[in-house]
Amino acid sequence: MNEPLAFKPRPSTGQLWLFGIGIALLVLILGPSLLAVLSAPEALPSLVIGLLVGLVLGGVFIAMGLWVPAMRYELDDQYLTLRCGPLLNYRIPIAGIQGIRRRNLALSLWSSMRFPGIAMWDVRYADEGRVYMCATSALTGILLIETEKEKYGITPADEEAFVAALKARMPA
Amino acid sequence: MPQIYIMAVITIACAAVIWGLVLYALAGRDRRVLWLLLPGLPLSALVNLLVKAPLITAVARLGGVAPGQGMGQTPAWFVVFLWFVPPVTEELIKVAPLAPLLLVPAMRDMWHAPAGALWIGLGLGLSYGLGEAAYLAWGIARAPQYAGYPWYVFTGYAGERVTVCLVHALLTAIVAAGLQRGGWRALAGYLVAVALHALVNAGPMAVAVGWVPDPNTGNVLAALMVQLPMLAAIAIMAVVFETLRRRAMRAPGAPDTAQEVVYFRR
Repeated sequence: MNEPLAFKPRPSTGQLWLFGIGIALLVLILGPSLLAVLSAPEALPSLVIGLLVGLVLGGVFIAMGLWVPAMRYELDDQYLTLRCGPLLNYRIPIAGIQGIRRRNLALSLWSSMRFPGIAMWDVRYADEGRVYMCATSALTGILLIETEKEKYGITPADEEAFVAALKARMPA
Repeated sequence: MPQIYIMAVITIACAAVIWGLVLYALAGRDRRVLWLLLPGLPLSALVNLLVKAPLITAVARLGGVAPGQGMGQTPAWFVVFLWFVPPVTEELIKVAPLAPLLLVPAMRDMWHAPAGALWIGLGLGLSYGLGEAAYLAWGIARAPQYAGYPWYVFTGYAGERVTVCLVHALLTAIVAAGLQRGGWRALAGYLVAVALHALVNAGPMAVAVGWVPDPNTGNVLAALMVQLPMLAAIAIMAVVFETLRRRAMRAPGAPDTAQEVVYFRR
């Protein structure tokens, strides 16, 4: 019986990107409405709509940024669990792991939740196809965990210790 | 100073940073691609003032099409001609800088790999798009009907131009990929780009000839009908580009940036 372990991801600037995008969305959506109201007070309804849309769209990114520090890779005897607060929870049976390798991934044009320093959920890559990401890097130094059907991408800060602990739990 | 210039500076800066970073990441962080954002900058003004305007005037005169009669009264053949002038001329002028660029050894090395040709095409197309944003701002600044507006109302211009920069980049990448492979593929790449460019312009053209109501009147359905061809064209371009890229990455000489470390394999 191995002790349950939790590993942190590498530090990154991904959180700042999420905050930046959230604030930029707020400013870009709210700014023109605010300027319009200043020059013509009858445009107040557009400010209210701008405020609501800005808060929803910008708020989503800011909330995601707030949860990034909660990203963890947890190991128990049977499962590797990738978590990021309430945003993400992937449970991978350790016995089903077919491969572990680190590589740089190739960006594709398909839209997904990835920015420099952060990648989450289902991300399409030009070389590896669909990868379920829970990582503080979108392209560089991604540790790929392969199961029979899926690939998961993570970025543990102490990669060697993580791989050793994971291999120690794998059936011979 | 005309207010559109403030929005143009913001738009061009945003497009250059966003798409420039995407290009840099796609090209495996090859800094050479950032120089490609320069050569296309004056080409939109050149092709509009020195090629398209004289060509349209000459064909109208030859065909007996009177100027200023409105698109509704314009003969169908001339409408089709006007629709295809931008794709046919722009897709050619965007790859024109290849001739001097390929004299530079660093660019010639990049061009020899199919993936490199795609990055060069993306860069040249993006550069053209940035220049076109500046050229259009100059045109809007000269139009008296926009003179009284503050800079922050030109959000439509900003959103459209940032998107169009990506469109130009993808189209030029398709042309460049064809040119790099040579032969009939060069012509095929060019014709595919022209067809997709025409599809992008189909919405505004349909409004101009009166087939679709003007979306500026608040008609949501009209706005959707104008945007739909462009969205469809962007989706097709992305599919074509990704297909070309997958093929290019498998080709001999493709850069291998993977640097894979295998810890375990069953």
